[in-house]
Amino acid sequence: MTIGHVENPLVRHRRRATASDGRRRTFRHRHRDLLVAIALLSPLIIALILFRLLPVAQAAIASFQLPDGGTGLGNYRFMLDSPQFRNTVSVTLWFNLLINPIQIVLSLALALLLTQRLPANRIWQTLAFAPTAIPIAVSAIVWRVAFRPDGPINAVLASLGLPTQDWLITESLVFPSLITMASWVGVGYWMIFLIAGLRDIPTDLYEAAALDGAGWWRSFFHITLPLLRRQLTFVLVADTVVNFLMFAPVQIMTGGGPNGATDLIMWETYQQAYRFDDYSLAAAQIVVVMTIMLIVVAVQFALLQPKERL
Amino acid sequence: MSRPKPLKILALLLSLVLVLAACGGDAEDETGDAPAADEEPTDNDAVDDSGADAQETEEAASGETVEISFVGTQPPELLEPVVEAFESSQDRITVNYESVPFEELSAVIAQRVGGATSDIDVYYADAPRNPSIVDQGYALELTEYFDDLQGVVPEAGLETATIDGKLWTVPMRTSTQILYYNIDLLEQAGIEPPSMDPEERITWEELADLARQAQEAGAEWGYIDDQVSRYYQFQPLPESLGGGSGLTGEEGLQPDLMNDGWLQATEFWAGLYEEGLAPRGVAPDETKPIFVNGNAAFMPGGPWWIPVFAEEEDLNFGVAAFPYFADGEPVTPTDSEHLAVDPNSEHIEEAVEFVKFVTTTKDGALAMASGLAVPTANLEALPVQLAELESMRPELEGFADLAMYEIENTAVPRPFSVGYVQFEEVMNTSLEDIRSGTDPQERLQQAEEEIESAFQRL
Repeated sequence: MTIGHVENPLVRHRRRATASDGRRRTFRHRHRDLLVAIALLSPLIIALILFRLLPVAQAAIASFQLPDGGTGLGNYRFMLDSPQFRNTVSVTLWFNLLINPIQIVLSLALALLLTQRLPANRIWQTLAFAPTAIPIAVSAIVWRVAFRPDGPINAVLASLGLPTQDWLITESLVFPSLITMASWVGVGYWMIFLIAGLRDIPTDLYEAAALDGAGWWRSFFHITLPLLRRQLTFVLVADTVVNFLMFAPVQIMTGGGPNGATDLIMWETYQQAYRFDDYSLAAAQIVVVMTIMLIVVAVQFALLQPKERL
Repeated sequence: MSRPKPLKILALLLSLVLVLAACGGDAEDETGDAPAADEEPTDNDAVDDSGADAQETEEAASGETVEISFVGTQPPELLEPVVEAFESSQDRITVNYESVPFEELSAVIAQRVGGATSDIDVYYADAPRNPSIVDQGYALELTEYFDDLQGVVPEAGLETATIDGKLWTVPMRTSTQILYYNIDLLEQAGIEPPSMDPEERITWEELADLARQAQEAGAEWGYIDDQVSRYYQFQPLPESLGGGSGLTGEEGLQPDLMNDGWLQATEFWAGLYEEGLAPRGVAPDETKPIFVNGNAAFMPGGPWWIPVFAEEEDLNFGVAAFPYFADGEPVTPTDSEHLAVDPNSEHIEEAVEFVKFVTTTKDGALAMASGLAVPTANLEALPVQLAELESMRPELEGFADLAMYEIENTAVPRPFSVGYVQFEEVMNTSLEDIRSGTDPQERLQQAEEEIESAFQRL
């Protein structure tokens, strides 16, 4: 029975013509889609270039301008030779190594807790999110008062018969104090993204896992975390950027002290630019902070890529 | 034939609008930012701007009101009297006062005057920062506008306002320090109040003993600094022991913090906090409530707190002459805010008229002093102001003579150096670290290195 295999040339021609039309139409469609995409994205891209990339380029250029009017690597040499700047970089890196995992673990824990069926769940969510709605400068002022030697935190400690502490002026305590304040503000905010992610995970996956005898921890590590990867990536990257650029709490609560223990890089850069009027050195510092931040964020992205794609 | 989709058309239109908006906004920004990025304001700018100013003046002459912008560090309500007095002294210039925190003044001036935004006409200039302000091109030269200020303001103030023989700022205020004490806390401890007579002033060592005594008798704190950890407040201590201002050299660009005077004074001061006579971790703006609430026995501070303290019925206070070290000389800090005019101002004539009113007329100076009791630099108004302060409490009798004596005899200005800004920032941070418990000698050594490093950039 070979007849069925013999194709009518006319039919073949029509089919080719149809395929060719389809390709052309697809091409036209794609072309049009591309134009629409460009049109839609262009305001953002233009704004990105004008308000983000251009200032970065200006800062990079300014970083090579020397105080004596010349150009060169003098600002970078001065910066790398400066013990204060080396301390600033070290403090900033340590701060981020500590605060980011703490904030993300706390946000995730809160998100997990508040997606359970708790009584008055909405109220808890609102309370957790509320500090985010307060301007960070106001929060910093409130916490500065709270951490004062004669402030409410020490009053509570004293009433419990515990020794009072010099929270913001003791080198070993100032970091935890700053992290506490920043986390009070940040955790509720990042929690919202994670709650949204958790709600997107289909419940039947958990039901199936439960039928297979998986416990809570097994479900958490094999269902929750892998399916929350996108939200976690965003939160980790955005949180890192926010904490790298932290400024107001340092200015209001510690002034970079004691002994440079909280001399985070944005505070140092602000000092150079606006207190010492040394814009070119501040620009060089900005270039360094951006380079470090890009490396850190790139590593975070790489680590959080789904394994299949690696 | 596919019909055009309404959504796509809408998206295209929206994009076009946004692009145009973004470009328009940027063009404006570029124009505004260009002078900041490319050039510092120069005298030429001032000349160019005075063209615009002439136009404005013409407008003003034709009956139009001109509003000048005035930036200072005190709350607006304290400036209301002088603004009202000026506005009622003439009818074509109004003043819009803007308050910025003291710590931020330099940054604001750098951003806005340095950025040539032309939205400031007159601003507070902290006297020791004058060399830096002039060096950066942030002040309009005022020589041609002020003929002779000799005898109008104190000689010391005029010296800090003049650089290279040219006048850049006009002294608005001067300052001195006195020793406040809480009469009730002293009585409770059986302490006889220290004398207001400069010849019988107590020593720092005696003050520490009295503070200890008061604390033992129940005062929460024996002692508290007004502007704690700020160089202005601390300078008289090393100066009293002959340690100098901390900067030496012809141009004031050599840090000198490791001499005996500085070390001895710093260790003494650190000891007050180490011992617990004075509180750590309290910011400068939080120290006055501690004294007002009757929680501190002694507070060296400025006379500008007299009206504030006098209003507190429960606060029974007196004042004495500022202490000195037993092995040293009596020294008090001095100088204060001057007024400067932004070279980019579009209302230079009006700005100068306002500056003249505040600094050279008795009425203007007294109106300014009525808001905040920092001693005026106007020599005609100063005795009137001091007498008024003295009259606020019977215990203050003799205060005016004391203040005049200190301004004329023991006042030592802050170092006059183009690096003063860097010096002061490093000193304030170092003093705060020392107050918090860092070893004074180590921290002063580190401060010297930081100052040297900062000066390399000048």
